[in-house]
Amino acid sequence: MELIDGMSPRARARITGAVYLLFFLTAFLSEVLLRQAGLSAISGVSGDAAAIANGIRAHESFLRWGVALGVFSIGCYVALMALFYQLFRPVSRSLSLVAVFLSLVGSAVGAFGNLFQLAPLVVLGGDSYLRAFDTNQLQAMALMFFNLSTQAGNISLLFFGLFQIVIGYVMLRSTFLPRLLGVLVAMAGVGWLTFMSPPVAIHLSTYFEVLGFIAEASLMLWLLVVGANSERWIEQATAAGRTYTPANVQMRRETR
Amino acid sequence: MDRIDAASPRNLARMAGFLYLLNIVGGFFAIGFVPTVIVASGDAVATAHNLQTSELLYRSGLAAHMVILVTNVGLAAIFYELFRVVNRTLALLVVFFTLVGTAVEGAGVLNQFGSLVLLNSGPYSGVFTAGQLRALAYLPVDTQGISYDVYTVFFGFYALTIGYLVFRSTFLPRLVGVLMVLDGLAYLTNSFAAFLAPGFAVHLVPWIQLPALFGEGSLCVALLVMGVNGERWTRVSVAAGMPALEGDRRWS
Repeated sequence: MELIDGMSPRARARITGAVYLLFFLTAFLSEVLLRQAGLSAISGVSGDAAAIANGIRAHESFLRWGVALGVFSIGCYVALMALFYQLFRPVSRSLSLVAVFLSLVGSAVGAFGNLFQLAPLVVLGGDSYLRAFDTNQLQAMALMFFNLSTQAGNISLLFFGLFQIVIGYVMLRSTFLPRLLGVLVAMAGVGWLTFMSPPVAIHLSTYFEVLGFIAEASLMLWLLVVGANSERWIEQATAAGRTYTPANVQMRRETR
Repeated sequence: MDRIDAASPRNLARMAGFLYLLNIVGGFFAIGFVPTVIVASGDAVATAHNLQTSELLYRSGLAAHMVILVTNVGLAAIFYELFRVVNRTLALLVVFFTLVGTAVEGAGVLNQFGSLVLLNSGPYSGVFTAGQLRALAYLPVDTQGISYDVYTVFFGFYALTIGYLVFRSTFLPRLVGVLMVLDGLAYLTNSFAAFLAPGFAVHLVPWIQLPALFGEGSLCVALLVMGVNGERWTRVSVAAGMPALEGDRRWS
């Protein structure tokens, strides 16, 4: 049987959930490890540059594993987007494509931010050419690089927020997933947009982080455990007049 | 008549082969050759000197790098057309991994322009000492490796995916698929070794780059010389229940 394409809509949705889970776990673990090194991909670090630099040096392997898992999680997310497009295509091909493209741009910006997470190790690495700077300057540069990575993360949040609003709307219009999931995801998307304004974000960030977590976790779990309603998916696909892969036709016969 | 959509699968494959050739040659020049001339490892003074005396060469390397980026985008579109008949989801994945990897790679090129900005006459020399300026100009050279390690994760995933598609395609040699999978594994090994154990990763070079030569080299040659087997492509396309391209009908 052909990988993914040859499976029923429900099985494909569950695979989507599994990749989502892999993304979730690696992204979460990445953040946990970064925090062990005194850093965070979500919120910028501030304070004593020397203490932060010493923390980075002392917990270098945590930082390295955190970055490695972070890059890997973005790879999972890119794969997830191909699966999302296939899942939501019957609802609206163009809106699904817009959503997925927004998310890809966000992923690229986020992945570039990973460069700035490792750059502090270069600056603090003690290569002889860096002796042109004194220790304080190098530590300040290390902190600057790290905070640039957080900025990259914030920029990618704009794209992810828009992605979630669009895909949430598509989910709301789908007949094969619960509408509540669509509402939750779209609301979480609006929440990420508030990060564009730091004064607003300071007050609301915790709420929106919790909302974002609940929305994505419930979507992920629903896809993983329940999948999508195959019959309705096929109905909606038929209404959209799309052509079938042989497996879909076979599914249709089976569900009758 | 639309030029690309009306092309037969074989011609599309040839176009991809040509773009891949540009990509590989550009890669040898921009990533393989220019840095070996310009960069004196760990020596900011010598590197700054080389940057200033061979600025045109350095800029040519960056320009060649941008040509690579453009060919990546074209390749992604053609690969989608060719492989959607094998597996639409995975063909989409080939496109997505390529686009994200290319965007990260492009942002990395921006960094490399930074060295030139700092070393060329500007207000910077009044604020930083000469040693600091050279060190700052060397920094993008030093972090270029990290940028490479990040974007090759996406190209590693790309190579794994397209390797599977080539293997299952019936219209391209299976061996090329196997070599591309090995290529992908080598990229991922190199990147994650560099993230986690840079001391160990140093010893992997240049052996870890050989699979890229065989994988992408063989794919490029197969596409360029043989194209794809058009008859088989059409058979796969019909089996997948996909409407053929205008060109397929004329061609078959």
